[in-house]
Amino acid sequence: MSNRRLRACLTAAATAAVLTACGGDDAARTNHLGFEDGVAPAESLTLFEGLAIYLLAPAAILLLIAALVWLPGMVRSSRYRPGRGWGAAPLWFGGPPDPAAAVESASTGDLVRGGASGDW
Amino acid sequence: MATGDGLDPRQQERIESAVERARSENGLDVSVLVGDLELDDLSQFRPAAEKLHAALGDRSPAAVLVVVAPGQRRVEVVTGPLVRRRVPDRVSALAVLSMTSAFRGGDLVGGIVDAVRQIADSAGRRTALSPADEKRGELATRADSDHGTRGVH
Repeated sequence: MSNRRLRACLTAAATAAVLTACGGDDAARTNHLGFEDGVAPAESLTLFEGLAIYLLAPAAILLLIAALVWLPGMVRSSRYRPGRGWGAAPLWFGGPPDPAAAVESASTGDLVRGGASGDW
Repeated sequence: MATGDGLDPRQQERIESAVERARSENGLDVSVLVGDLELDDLSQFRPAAEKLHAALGDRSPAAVLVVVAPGQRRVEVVTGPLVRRRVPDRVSALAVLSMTSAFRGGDLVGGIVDAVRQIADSAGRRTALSPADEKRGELATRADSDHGTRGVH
């Protein structure tokens, strides 16, 4: 029994000693680097530095990401959009050498043509 | 231009090479017209497309013409009587179907190229035709015709 009590006393003493060493008294309010706890050793930010770090930098990153998202779409602006109309002149790939004249002089005749139609 | 910017050179090249492949690998005379037709009434689209097919002259009976009007949102495949065996209407209808679904999604060139490929594949292989005289022709504005095609306004 006394053995157990002695061990409890020793533990309590050791704990108290460690706590004291860790800065229980006023003189030990500074940490091992010499600064008071909770205080940064640097000078405070100026207004411009604050704005640059907390507003300009995030805004720049956002703009960069937005640009990366939008640019490919801008480059492919020739994409066809249904319903927007089509202003370009007709192009005939593999057509007659002089399409306008050929259409002018063409007559459907009595050929029976096949094929299919569709709309969208 | 406020509306549709037309096809850029790379897109034109893709359509051209699809047409050339059909001629050289399948011996099939395919031509593709991309542009709106000048019509009073869209019900005239089929006759106008047949007239364009007739404008192919001597080639007409054995030619396949694909007319795509992006502004009018109409597509027409016209086949001459001599190729109707190789390109039956069923095949044309499938090509039209794949084109309209591609066009609805905004993929004009991809739809055209795939449809030409589809038609050519189903037509099988024959001896190659000589390359088309004119790879790419631009139709001038013609206000005096019912079935003509429309230029830039």
